[in-house]
Amino acid sequence: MRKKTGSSRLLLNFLHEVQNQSPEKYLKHEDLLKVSKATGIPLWRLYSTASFYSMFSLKPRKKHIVRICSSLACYLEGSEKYINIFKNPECYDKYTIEESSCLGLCAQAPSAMVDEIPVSLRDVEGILRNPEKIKKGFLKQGSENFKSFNPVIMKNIQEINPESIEDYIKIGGYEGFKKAVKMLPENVIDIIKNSELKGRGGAGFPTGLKWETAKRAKDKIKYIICNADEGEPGTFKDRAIMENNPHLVIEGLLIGGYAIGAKRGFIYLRGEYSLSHNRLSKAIDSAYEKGFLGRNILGTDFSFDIEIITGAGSYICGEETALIESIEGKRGQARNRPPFPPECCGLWGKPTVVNNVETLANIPFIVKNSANWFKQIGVDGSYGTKLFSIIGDVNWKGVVEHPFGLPLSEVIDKFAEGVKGDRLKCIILGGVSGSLIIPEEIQTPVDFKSLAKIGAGPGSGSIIVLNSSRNLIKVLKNIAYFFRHESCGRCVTCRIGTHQIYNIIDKFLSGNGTHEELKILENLCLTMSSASFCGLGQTAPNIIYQSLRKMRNEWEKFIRR
Amino acid sequence: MGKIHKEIEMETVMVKINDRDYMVGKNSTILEACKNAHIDIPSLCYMKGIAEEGGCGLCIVEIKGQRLLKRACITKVTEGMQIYTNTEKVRQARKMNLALLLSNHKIECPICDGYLNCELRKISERIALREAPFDSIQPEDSDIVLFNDGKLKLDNSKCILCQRCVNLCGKILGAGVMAVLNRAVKTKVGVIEPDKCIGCGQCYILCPTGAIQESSTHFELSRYREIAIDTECFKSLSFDKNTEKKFITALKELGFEKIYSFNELWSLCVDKTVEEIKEKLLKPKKSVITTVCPSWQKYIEIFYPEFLNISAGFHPVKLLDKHILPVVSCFAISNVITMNQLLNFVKQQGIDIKSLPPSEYDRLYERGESFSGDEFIKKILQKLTNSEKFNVTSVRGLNKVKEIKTISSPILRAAVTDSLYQARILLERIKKQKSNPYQIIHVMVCPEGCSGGGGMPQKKNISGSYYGFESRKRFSW
Repeated sequence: MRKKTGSSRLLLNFLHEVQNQSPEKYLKHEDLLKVSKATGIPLWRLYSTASFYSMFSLKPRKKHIVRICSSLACYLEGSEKYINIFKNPECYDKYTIEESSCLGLCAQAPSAMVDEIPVSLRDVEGILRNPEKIKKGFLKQGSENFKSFNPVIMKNIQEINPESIEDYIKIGGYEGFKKAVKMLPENVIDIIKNSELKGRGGAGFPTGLKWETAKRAKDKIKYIICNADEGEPGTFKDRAIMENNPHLVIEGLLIGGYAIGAKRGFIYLRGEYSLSHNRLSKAIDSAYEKGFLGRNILGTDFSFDIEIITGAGSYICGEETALIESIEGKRGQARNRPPFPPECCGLWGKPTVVNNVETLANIPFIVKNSANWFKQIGVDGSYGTKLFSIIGDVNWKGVVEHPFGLPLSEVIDKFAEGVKGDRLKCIILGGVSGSLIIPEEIQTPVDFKSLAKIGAGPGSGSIIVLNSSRNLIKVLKNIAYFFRHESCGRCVTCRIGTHQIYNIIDKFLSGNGTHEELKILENLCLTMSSASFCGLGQTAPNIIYQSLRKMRNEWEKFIRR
Repeated sequence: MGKIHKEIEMETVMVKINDRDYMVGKNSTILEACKNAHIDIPSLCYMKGIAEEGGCGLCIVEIKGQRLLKRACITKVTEGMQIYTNTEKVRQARKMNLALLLSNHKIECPICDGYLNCELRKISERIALREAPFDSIQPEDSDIVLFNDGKLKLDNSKCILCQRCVNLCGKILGAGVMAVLNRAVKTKVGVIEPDKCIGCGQCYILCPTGAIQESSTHFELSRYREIAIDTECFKSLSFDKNTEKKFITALKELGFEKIYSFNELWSLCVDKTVEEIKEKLLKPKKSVITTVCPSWQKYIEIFYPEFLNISAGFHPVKLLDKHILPVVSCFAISNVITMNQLLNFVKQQGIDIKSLPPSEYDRLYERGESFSGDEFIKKILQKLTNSEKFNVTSVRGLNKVKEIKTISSPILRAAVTDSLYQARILLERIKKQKSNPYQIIHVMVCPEGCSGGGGMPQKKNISGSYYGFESRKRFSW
């Protein structure tokens, strides 16, 4: 029997429901009063939460919603001129047009969504005049270009129907879980520790250690959460996993839940990822039907429930503690650490493990095949494979799975079929909060240790290639715009710091930059990286700071003479 | 001796601050630890129990072994922590944070109403920035919103988003007039439900900048010839009797012909309240809630209207004739002037109070005395029961509620509190028909009664406990 939480407990889901049922697609004052009565949450807190998220509107909207991506990958493919067209929507009186941060549709850039259906931005104007055209502009879902070499996660992925649990079982699905429940939870954790699996979301924290900390915590109630809030611009590998093999996430949560002693798992999923939501929901339902979820799974004492929480448009909610705050129905603001969520103070004050989609997707294979098997793949300090999202000025775009240790130049030549256009200017590695790699550095092998030597890391695995035709400062402006929009707003350092970074870059582009201002920008970047309250503010200045250090000539072009 | 030593060890930890050893409380924050060690760390937005966002970032310190700078106000100490409060890195970051904050703040100090008490101005002096490297950027939709019947205004261009007002009004007082809205650089404090404002003015008292200010500071004083002062105000102003008398002379210099004191009105007020209470206690309701405090009266009207039929009493200002200008410490009454406003007005005239001779109050009615809090209730109980002596005890679990019980028959119990937060808990008990031993409940919304009212000059050493807010006690949200 399936245990379902009252949706009023998960405020985000409740607000989505209320908004979708409103004919003008917004959260009316009267509706919020009803929500307040039903949940006991005071109105001022509801307004505080609802106004924080981009996907909630407190003003009436048209029946159809168009979301246009303004982030880097789409900018590189010319989204700017389309955004400007839509600023005068005279003929579009049936549509509300909203700007959105990275939609995770980077390989098909420039991208947009019409009524939650991914489309090419080039087709949006036509669709708005003629809604039947939506099928033509419809981005074929679930068909990112894939390439892989010695894959772990992507193995067999082309052979299965993602909506069939039987297919998943046929290729060995749930074998890892079956093995896990026969062992002691401590032994499951030992396997993951021995495999030296590191988090694949960007931080690279040792997963086994995280699980062990949660296991050791002395609370009877614990939670495990899948961070499916993939929001790093240029990253779409989690979406690829969830659309093509959602059961990997479920099995990963099951094994993790069993290991740490959690009875409930959550998947915090990006609100914009409608197909992923669809596939994960179906997968969860079929897992319940087959008895892999619910009470006394496979005849053991272990019971486990999974719920999906739909995000509402906020990049910061991909940060572990902000994600937890969001599930608790509050603004997505990071918490002060220490103490850390696995120790004690996670969701609703309980020990909580938060793992990225890709991390969890590795778990079933590691448990099924063994830690030693995993360590045959990759290099020392970086075992296993990494999923890369490759976009930009390359001849092939898509998701690549490859063991760690391949030089970056080879990733681009071998899989992305080389730089498109004149020659390479630089690479943005690991997302816009990652690092700037210059041509002299591209022989560096992609693994944690080698990249650390040049002050970089694999991050989310996003690889954005820029050729020499690109105006680097305009690219930086796009990045600064993103962080300015996504800052949670709590600390002065980041809220106003991101604003000022954008302002200074804008000044340079209009020809009013000075040497002094470059110095101020550099100091601002340094302060933000050490004095911001959370990781967003700390990493927002990364690419800009590195451009000042490694590619100063790009800036000097814009200094006022 | 050994046992005591061990107990102390359990509650403290050893830390190093600027290379010196200190023994500090185990659960204290770095800010508290430094304060006890007489080391000053500038802090602006923080207010214990009320605003713990870590927003302004001015209290950052460096911790050995950590690359990131930590906010001293919300970071707890650990055994062996090595804290540096004034390194080059810390100083640069503090200046940068202040520069960022100022770039987003409308700087118009000489004409800003909040200039005198502005905490931002004071901390700018402390940090000594000396240069403003950033362009001034105001948020697009910054505005000025009026609330509290138009008596208060919220100017977003000066708000530093400390959230003291939001948390006080929402969490502690339970009114929820304001909320933090939006995200990133569009974040602002918005007035969500202006109709729920109970007029206590505590948000104005707590605001560290000129963001929340009185909206009508230029009162038409010249219309009035007679003025009546609620002398409750003088209690927290450190005005001795002599200075009070000189103040009366100052008012005469300003052109007032008659200066009265509220004292006489309070006695009348007691009598009338006793009459109302007698009526209502007779009915089988068993409890009476006094509504002498105007904010409390508004609170009941808005949030617990079902209790209006068991309310009694009113603020003595209602007894005053219309041609007399009342001066009160209360922000919830209309057509009055607050003590703060009057003090400012006197100052603006350039009158040197100390050099004046003393004067006496004029008489309104017979002699009377001012009654506050406990005294007011004791007077009422005395008139109801003829009891001269009372038993005053604290109420378990509610440290700001006092129980005053008559000793002789009939035994009447009154609960008196100056914490709206704890009064709410009492009301909920009555509402849920849990056993309620009190026949009379007397609530003053402002801490320390009227002398802590919104119309008084701003206080600064406040924390959540001042409002009776114990964070362990959960009152719904």
